[in-house]
Amino acid sequence: MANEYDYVAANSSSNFYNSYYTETPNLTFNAGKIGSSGSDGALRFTGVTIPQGEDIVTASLNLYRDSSNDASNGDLTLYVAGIDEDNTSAFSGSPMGRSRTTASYTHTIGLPSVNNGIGLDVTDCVQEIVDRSGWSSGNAMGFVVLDNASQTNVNINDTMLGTNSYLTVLQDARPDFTPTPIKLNASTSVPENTHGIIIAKSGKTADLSKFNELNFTNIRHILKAKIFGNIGRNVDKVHGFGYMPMFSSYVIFNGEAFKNPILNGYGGGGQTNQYDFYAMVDPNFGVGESVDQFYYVFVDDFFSI
Amino acid sequence: MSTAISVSSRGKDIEVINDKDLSYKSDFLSFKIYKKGFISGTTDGSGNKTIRIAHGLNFTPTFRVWRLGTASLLKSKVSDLDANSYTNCFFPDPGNTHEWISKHDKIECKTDAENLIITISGADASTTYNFKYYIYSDLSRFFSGRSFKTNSTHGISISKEGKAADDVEIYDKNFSSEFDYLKYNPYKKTTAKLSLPALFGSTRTDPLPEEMTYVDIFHYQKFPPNYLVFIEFNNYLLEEPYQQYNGEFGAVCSKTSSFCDKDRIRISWWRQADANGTAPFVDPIEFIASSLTFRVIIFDEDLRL
Repeated sequence: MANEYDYVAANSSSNFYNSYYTETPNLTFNAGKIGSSGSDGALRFTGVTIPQGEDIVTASLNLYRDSSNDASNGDLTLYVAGIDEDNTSAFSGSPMGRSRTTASYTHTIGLPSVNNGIGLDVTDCVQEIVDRSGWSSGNAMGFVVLDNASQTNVNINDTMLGTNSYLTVLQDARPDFTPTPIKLNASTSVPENTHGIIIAKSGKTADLSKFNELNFTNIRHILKAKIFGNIGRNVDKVHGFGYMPMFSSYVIFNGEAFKNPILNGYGGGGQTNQYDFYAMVDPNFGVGESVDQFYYVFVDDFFSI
Repeated sequence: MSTAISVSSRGKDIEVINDKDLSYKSDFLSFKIYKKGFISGTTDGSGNKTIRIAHGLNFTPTFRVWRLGTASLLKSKVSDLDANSYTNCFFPDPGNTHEWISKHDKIECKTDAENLIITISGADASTTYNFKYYIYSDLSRFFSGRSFKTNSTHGISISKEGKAADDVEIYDKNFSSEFDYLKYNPYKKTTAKLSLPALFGSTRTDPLPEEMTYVDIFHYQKFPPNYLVFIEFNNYLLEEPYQQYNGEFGAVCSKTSSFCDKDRIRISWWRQADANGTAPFVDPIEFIASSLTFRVIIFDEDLRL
């Protein structure tokens, strides 16, 4: 199953932390440089529904800047690591002393404009956390984001107002998927019985011939068709059979017949339901020209015996 | 109109049986195999070749063409699905791309009042392409003129309503014992279901992921049989091969292909997401898991003969 999920840091002091603004409770995430002082932040995401041990394709910590502090541009240089816990508890105080994942990243990235965000790769951090034996789907996951020599006055500030930062995890996308193929046997034939009618091909003895040497026998069926001709483009026609019949169809263009379905040649192809059939021709086939269709709809029932 | 001849299957009461369960009923038309055979053509240095097979019917007949060749999976992204090659395979209905043989879409088949015409354009240079063809003595467009009229002595000849059986154009016969027919065992109609999981495309992972699976139906005919495949989807029956863009079958591009050899009929289903696509497709893009049901009818007709 291919899944990409976003987990938003919910508005709560339990989920936001910064080391610079020491209000209580702590209502802001901030990371970077405030003036010349470093500011470290942390975010916590609850209800992260990744199964234990799941393969993580990518994970991105998306930090949203919703207020303007200090510089309007410049480079952020941030160190990011996961909080190495099975179920990260609420930020009742500083989480900076908690164990961190071995996996970590240092990203240098331009400060976004207000009301925009930046994405930090945290794939290996998320993988390390969900690989913990004690991790369970639905647990909380946290990250620390530390200043690592950002430019002066360059910091990203996410308050609990407006859009919040979020974590995006693409788990087990399994592109280019190839399942185990299916093998089955054609349905079993009933025991053959004495023929009632046999018509053999020329030169063949009727009662000694194989089926493919017969022109007709009553213990085989032959396709029985009704003709629907002179059909234009994209037309519904009632067949009235009460079941979905097979069919064979042709597109007529410039006096020549093309067997449907012709797809790459912008041709046609049909479909039936239990009431009618739809004879369709690609609009690019014979643009501006007369295009006709000819359908053989088979009485033979494909769905029951 | 009173029915001239009805033939029921073994054990079925002719008085109560529905038309769909009859082995034969003279009210309906059955495809009469007028001419069949093998033909080859070698392309020039530009990969072009036109093959004409004269039929002399003086009307535009129905037909079906099979290509003889070696099957091997062409989709590199899902190449682990099957690394084998299969020789002496028959591929139906050239004119469409095929996952198991190249240049199938470079071949156009059509009929006019004189010929079955197989046109190869832009295929491999100096390469021999081999075909099995069927030309039926049935109309692919309405016609009322003179045609080739068989001089054979009839065993049984059944004309369409209002036509004199002993002086009738060949296309106005519903049945004639001098012709062969595609015959099927009514107890050997086979159903196969294929499923593919959700498909996820993203420019951050793979914008063009592919999925593919197949079913092998072992037919026990001991020869590569003529067959028909239809796809049941959303209460409609569609002709195979089927190719669709724009999201049907749950992907930007979805396609079915089939071929047979003396052991199996293989039906494959491939689909692809496109996160690079233009609107309405977006990045990332996800398609839900989906299933297709294939209805297969296998004829007692050896494609090698």
